[in-house]
Amino acid sequence: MKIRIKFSKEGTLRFVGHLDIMRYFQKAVRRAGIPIRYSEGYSPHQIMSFAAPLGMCVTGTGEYMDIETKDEEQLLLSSAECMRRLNAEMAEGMKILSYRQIPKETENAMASVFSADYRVEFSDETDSRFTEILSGEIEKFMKEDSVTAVKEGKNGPKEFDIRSMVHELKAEDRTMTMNISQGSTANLKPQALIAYFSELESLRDFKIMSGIRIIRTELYDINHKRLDEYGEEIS
Amino acid sequence: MTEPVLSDEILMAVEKPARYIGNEINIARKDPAKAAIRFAICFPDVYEIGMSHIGIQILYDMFNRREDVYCERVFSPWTDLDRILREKKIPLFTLETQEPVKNFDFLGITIQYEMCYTNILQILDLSGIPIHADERTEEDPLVIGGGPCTYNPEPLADFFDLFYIGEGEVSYDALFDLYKKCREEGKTRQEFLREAAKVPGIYVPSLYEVSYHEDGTIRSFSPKYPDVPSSVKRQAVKDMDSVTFIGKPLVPFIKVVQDRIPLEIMRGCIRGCRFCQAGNVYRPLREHSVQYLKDCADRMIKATGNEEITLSSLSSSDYSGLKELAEYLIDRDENEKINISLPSLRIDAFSLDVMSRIQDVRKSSLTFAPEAGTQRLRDVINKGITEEDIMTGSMNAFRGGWSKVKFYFMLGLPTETEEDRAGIPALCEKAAELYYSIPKEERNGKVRITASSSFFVPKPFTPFQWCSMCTKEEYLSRAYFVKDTFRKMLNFKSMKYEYHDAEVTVLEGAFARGDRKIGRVIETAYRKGALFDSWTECFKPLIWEESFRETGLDTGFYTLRERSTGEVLPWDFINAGVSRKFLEREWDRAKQGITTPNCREQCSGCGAIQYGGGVCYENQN
Repeated sequence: MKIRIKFSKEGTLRFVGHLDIMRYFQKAVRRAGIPIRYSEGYSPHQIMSFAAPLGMCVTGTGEYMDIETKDEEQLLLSSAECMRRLNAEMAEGMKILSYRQIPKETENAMASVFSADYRVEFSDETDSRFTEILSGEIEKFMKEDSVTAVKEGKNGPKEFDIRSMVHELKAEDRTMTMNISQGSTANLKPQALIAYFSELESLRDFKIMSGIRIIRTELYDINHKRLDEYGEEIS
Repeated sequence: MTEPVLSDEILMAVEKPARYIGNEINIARKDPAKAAIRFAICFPDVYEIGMSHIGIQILYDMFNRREDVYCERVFSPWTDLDRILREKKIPLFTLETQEPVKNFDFLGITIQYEMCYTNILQILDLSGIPIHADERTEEDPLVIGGGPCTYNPEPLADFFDLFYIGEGEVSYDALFDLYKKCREEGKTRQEFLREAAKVPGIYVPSLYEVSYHEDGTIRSFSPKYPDVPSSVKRQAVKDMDSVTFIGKPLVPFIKVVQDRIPLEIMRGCIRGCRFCQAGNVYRPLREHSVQYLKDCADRMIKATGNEEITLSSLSSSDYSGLKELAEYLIDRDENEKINISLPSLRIDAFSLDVMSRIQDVRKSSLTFAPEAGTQRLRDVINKGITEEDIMTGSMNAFRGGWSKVKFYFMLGLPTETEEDRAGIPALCEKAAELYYSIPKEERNGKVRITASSSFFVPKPFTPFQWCSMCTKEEYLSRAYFVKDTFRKMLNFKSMKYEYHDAEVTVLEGAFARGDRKIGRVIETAYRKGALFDSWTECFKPLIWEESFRETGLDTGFYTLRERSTGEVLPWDFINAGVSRKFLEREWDRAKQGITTPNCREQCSGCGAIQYGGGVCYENQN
């Protein structure tokens, strides 16, 4: 049975990297007694996959993972029961938000991620004129067909088009919200976008990179459906 | 939630920030204001190493079971954070409440190996606690040390207020109760320490004085006051099932060195290897009952969700319930399936059967520890393993499908000759030839034999506590000789030989049997930047050379001298359980190459019977 789990990762958990979060969930699932399926072979592992890794120091309030559980009827547990059990095993800052059965043929979360919503909160110390100037720059940015940014690659700096990966972008009250490409086809790190704006002449003096908080709030597929719009709760 | 004391910017600038944030599963959460005693427990190395240590977890659990104690953890900040803490003047903090260590009543440091000594000074320094015990005030925590290196605490005497000699389960309650009482009565730090010195197992170094002969050896070691005991007795649990074991082990976020549930199956060892400190100072062997261990295992598997458990002891094969316990752990439902790791196992039919069921034979390697290349030298060290044992074990393993074998040896053992050294490659060659005697279609490709040797460091409370070590140059020339001899072996292409760092060995030797004067060297080296000396990438031998020179001390005095049995040794005031007479007898037998039977074969009267339990009383009901 295919299950999609939505969870949040906040607080000090923002310093726990993706690989460690995977190990964390493997243990949590065992503690909670969720009847997860194991792979065949000499060293069986749990069938579990995550939608998209979350960057270090980034908080997530709409994260997803898929697991497979055993089909035997006597092992069937309701969504409510599984959420209760899992939440009892979570570290502070981690919360299970939904637990839904998805149809067998549903593409797994990792393959279906297309875009993500992020919210970037700038430091309180930022000047009040800042949001105004930033909004102006965003307006200009969104009107462009392509905007070149530079990222550090393995073989030195590399130019890439940042504009095509930004689907929505706005700023208000020291906060920037966006919907940007995420996943295996195209992937934009919000830090790269903020870095682009921070280097613009009009914004350079604000030192916006210091004291920012980045939150990934939701993940969507190519049809702009939230990943938890699939499947249904087990009653 | 407790937010990290370090800013996001600092945490993003350091390697593995999760080392410093706490918040792990099964962390102890208490209201610090309601705890009469705040205890910071420290393993002076990085988080991943400290969190792999079973002793820390046992004490953390035990202390926090007391309502009036809140025990929190602190580890060595890695060099990147070390720099930042100094630069920004951020005091060292515990993981649980993220509060400064300086605010605590106790700072308890486990001292597991000599090469962590400068890290201890780092912990004190970063906490803002004076490095010297005699400069601390009523505002400072009491700094208490424990662990194997406290069987000679003298090199660290200046830095600790007190040491706990032995197993923590026995006397900590008495110590905590005394602390509370003294505080209620308004007693000073000094008054408390004077009282604490009377608690069994507690050693307060400032209450003893040492005088020296002109040649640097000890003339006398005695208490400064008549009410301070002249000897400190190592504490040991009498009945293992009567003490609590870890309830819910901590589950770290980051991968630690031992990402396994630790299950201690017994303490002590019956074997009596003469080089082994643990085998001597943890006597007598005391087992847990199988039922106790089954309950612990079930509880810890449930509480951690961990897929691996390690059965910890000095010699797992000597645990009388091993078969029953191993089978219980192997036969579990899939959702509770658990991988077992069984270190320090003797290779015999039973262990091969168990291992073939718990690991992938083709990928895993088997480990033998013959320690010496010839039977003569194995008898000197009382290793109790014959060449025949090794060859039979290897052959059974090869037939069972294993093709990777590791051999551990030591160089620089007392009475060692060139013949003994040449015996190391010869033994490996013999094993290789044995492998190739198996018909091609029945064996698993090429054999791979890895031999590694460390240089022997004599330790206090072993029969070798009097013997001399070698110079760095001599160690290296011995290792080169072994390496060259390997090249002459027929099957040398199937073999690999590695050896340990000789410079570290000499230092370790000087610390292991050092006296109070060594403290000055440690402090000098720390001030010059020595830190994380057990990490190859951090070890700076030049600093240590300079520090010895500047303090007017010589490593040769501590390492190259064979002591007479009449010399006062720095650790003589400790009663570790094994008697001086037994150790002298064993030293004598070693020199003659006479072996001593293990505790289950015949009692050798070592003295450990005074603890009133364990193997000394087996079959006596």
